[in-house]
Amino acid sequence: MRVAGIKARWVVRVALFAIWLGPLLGLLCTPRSSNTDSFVYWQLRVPRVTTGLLVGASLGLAGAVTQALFRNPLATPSTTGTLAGATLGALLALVWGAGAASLGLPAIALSAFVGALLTSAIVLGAAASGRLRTQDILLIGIAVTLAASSAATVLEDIADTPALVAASRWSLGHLSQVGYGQIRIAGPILAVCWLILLSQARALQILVLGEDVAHSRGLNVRKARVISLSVCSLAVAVAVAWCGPIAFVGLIVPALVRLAFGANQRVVLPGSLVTGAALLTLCDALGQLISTRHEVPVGVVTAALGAPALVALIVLRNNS
Amino acid sequence: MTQLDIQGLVVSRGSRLILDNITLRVERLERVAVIGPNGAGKTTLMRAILGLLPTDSGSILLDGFPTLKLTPLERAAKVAWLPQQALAEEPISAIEYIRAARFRFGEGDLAARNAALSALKMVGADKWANRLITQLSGGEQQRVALAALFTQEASLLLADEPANHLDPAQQASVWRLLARAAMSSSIIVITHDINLVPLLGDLSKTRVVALNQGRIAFDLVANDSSLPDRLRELYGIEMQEYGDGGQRVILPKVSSGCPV
Repeated sequence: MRVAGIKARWVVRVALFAIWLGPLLGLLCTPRSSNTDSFVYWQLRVPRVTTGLLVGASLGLAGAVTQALFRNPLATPSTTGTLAGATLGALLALVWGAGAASLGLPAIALSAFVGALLTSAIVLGAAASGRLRTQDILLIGIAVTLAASSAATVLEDIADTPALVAASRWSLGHLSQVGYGQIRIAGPILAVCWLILLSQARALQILVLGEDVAHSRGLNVRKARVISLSVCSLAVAVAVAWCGPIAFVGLIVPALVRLAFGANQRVVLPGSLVTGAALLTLCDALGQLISTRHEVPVGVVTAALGAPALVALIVLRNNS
Repeated sequence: MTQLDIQGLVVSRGSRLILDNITLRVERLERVAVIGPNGAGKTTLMRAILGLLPTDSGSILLDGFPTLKLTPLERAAKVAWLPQQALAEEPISAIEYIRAARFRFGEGDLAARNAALSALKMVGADKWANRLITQLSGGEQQRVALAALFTQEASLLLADEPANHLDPAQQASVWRLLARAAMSSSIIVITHDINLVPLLGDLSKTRVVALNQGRIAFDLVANDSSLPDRLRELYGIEMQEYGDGGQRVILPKVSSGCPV
């Protein structure tokens, strides 16, 4: 038993080490153009890898915080309504024919951002009331997700074909079409979000032991929930508005880190930040390497790798 | 200043009265064992003291401050809690678990680690410092939970059935550790086993408070000679005192059939 446990831990550590090399792959090997002059390098590869790092780090960290907050390995930004709200927002923008730039951001991104914040606000309101148990808040998140998804389905039904194509392209998740302009806007916002979330490690560490116990040990549970959940939603909203709802990163990254390095939040949070950044860049590089003619969207790669990885992880964990 | 001063406390859930006009004072360094049938409101009383539930009427003062008016940090300095099934199913090491109980101090890494280690030493569990709490046996887990209780350094300790489900040796060591903590803190212990109470120390300085259907049924010094009679009233079965001058035990009477 113990031998198997240590083995599983080392298997995951080696896998994590491989993932951490992802950004290098993205910088060195992605084609798109056979010439590797400095224009391609600085105007295509570097911003794209930077985007992958920023978005991946945010999704990985948000996943870890959400899991700790809800004391549930299945809790991710997908189950707290954030991603569904972003999707609904993006669809709304597409269906109303918006494509024009406003406030320097494309309308789709802005609308997705607003949608993500609105649905998160419902869940956040439930958390802030202070009367609901953790599991109830998670259920409300799932209800919001379902409601937003069905609203999105109605929109898809009334949308015309070009809007639908654009919507489906957005919803696959991709890191292309990002330049330094967007990085300059989103980068600082995300960095501040990370710092705030990382500073919550101590609070989350006692929150995972149970909210009543956390309260009795001096934690203002309601305040910790509101800070973590709102900053998490903000980070995910920015990331998703930018690149589409990229699934599985928030789910698989914290699970990997926990299996490799234990459940201590002071390790899980920074570990998920780093691993999320590396994993998304790696998946994006793979998406470009799989086919040089038609690149595979990164969201498809994360889902294609994430699903089997998750199953493998569960098997590994049960063996240890 | 009285450690804990509860006056006319009423707590209800829906239309059901859980605590009905409880008045209880605990002085500094006092030891109190709380007994009573299942559902009598013992755990609810602890949760009310911790400010974990709204009260209908009455007041709970910790060091003279209403518990619900205190911030969680202020309250954590005054009262610490060992709940039933204390340990979570979170695979973290014993030392990390105990460090988390130092939250209120907001201290540096090294200080927290040293404090956690000395708490583990105190309960004789320092050799498990780096083991995962999920891999410890029931008795080991309860020692780690006790170390977390002590390391919060609160002036009032609440322990809810701390020796439940443990073998007799582990039960005795849990109670002895509580007795040691009782030298520097006031302590309230919920228990179903009245015969473990002597392990807390001098019986003449320990109180037994019985709850029944949300009311205080009696509040006696632990060596009071009427205790067996009062226990019979409390549980509704014949209780008999056994033993002589040395150690007395009170048990359900074997001969008179217990109601099934």
